[in-house]
Amino acid sequence: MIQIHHLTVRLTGFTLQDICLTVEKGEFFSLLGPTGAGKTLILESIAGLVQLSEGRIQIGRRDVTHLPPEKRGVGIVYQDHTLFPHLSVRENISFGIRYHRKSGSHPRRSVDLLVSRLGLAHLLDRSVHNLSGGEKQRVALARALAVDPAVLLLDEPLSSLDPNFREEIRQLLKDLHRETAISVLMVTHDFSEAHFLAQRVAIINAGRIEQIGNVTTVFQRPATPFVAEFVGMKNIFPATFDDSRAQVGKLSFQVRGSKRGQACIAVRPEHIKLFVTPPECRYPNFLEGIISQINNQGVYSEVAVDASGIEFQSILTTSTLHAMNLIPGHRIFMSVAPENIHLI
Amino acid sequence: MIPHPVIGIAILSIAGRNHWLGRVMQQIGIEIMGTVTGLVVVLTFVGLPFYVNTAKAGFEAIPERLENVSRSLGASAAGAFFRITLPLGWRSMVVGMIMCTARAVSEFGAVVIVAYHPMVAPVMIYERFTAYGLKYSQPVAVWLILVCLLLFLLLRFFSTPAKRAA
Repeated sequence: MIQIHHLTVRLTGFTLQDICLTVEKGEFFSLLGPTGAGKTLILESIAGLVQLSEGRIQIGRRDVTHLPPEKRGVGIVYQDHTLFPHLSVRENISFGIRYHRKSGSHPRRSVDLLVSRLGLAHLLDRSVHNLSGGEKQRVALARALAVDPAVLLLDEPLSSLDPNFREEIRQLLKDLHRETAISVLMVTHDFSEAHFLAQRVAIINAGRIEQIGNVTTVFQRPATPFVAEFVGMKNIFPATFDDSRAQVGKLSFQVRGSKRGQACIAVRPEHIKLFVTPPECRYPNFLEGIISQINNQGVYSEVAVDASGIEFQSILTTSTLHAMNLIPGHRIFMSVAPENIHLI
Repeated sequence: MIPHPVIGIAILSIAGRNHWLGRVMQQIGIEIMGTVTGLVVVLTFVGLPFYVNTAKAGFEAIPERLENVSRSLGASAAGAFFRITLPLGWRSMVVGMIMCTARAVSEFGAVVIVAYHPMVAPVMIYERFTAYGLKYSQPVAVWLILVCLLLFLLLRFFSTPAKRAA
């Protein structure tokens, strides 16, 4: 378990401000945020590699705030693997064992188990220079787990990998977490990774926590416009609310729930339904616009629609796009169901 | 960036009787002018920056994260230094030493002022050239070239990183 109480780190030009979070025992927790948000700094604070300005950090029942990194029992895996270049795979994995010999335990045996579990047995005598990205990351994981840490810190463990290795390591992380029941704190900027692996997430922006919660809750009910954008709600507009109606520029939307005054509405692109001709039955929040841009992304295509000077982003499968024969500059109709309009 | 004769003059000035440091050195029996000690002082002064810069660049090129990871695995600060940093950085220290030596071997301007005797190779070349002419200075020059060539080969050997067998 990791508990962070009011963590503040002041660096020149950047401040990590009053971070409070708890990673439960055996939980897979993810810190999400854009590059430069301070995620790695939180990780390094837990590992004892950064001087804290204020706050306390607890791992298990121990207050580790003033302990040096080697006394914290924290395993760390960086995105660039950070393998020791002058050591072989075997020497890398067994690097920390000499510091963790306890009477009665057999660290070698657990390392052997780990090596075979991670499929590294045939690589042990190789140099770390000619391993593939996936192999390097497996060695880094084995090295961190070999010393049986209380918590495992992962700093964007998947982002430097090729897509096929990424899937492999992602599944491996999920399985390892399930098998070892170790507490994991993973930093990433990719929501889908967090969605796949984590139980709870914290969204960090510019050194502050924007929202903490269950992955699904954060995905479905973002608390701030920043989080909404981060989880893929591409349509975020400031609106004036009057009960269950929201006024965005000249457009008026019917929404679920009621609110008054200024706030924002947020809509996922896949929730904006497009029609080439006006449908016969009545749809709520029915709008007319002009296609301003189409971006083909392969399987999916993004369609930008200008309605009364406001640009909406919708998404379609590319085959649907072709079937509907959408062309920039043409007239289009769209509708958004009130339950898909999030009030922020 | 200082002209080397100026370095020689500066060293002699502070080692002389008119400077407190010179007086202290005289009292404990250290003599700079025309001694091996003087040579060592001058050549260290001109060569040391080469060593420091090379070794510094080498150590700076080692990612801090390697040390971070080794600390998280249980190594103390000293442990991380001796098991990670030093094995990765010692080559740049050796390269720095070679650079420093090469610089020292070629020094003339400062040496000729501080310690004409005992004679180092460049001073010997100069003396033979002025006293007996070109022909007499050539053998020393050839030896000096050979020494520099050897240093160059050592430099090449240590600055290419070791390739470990796959």
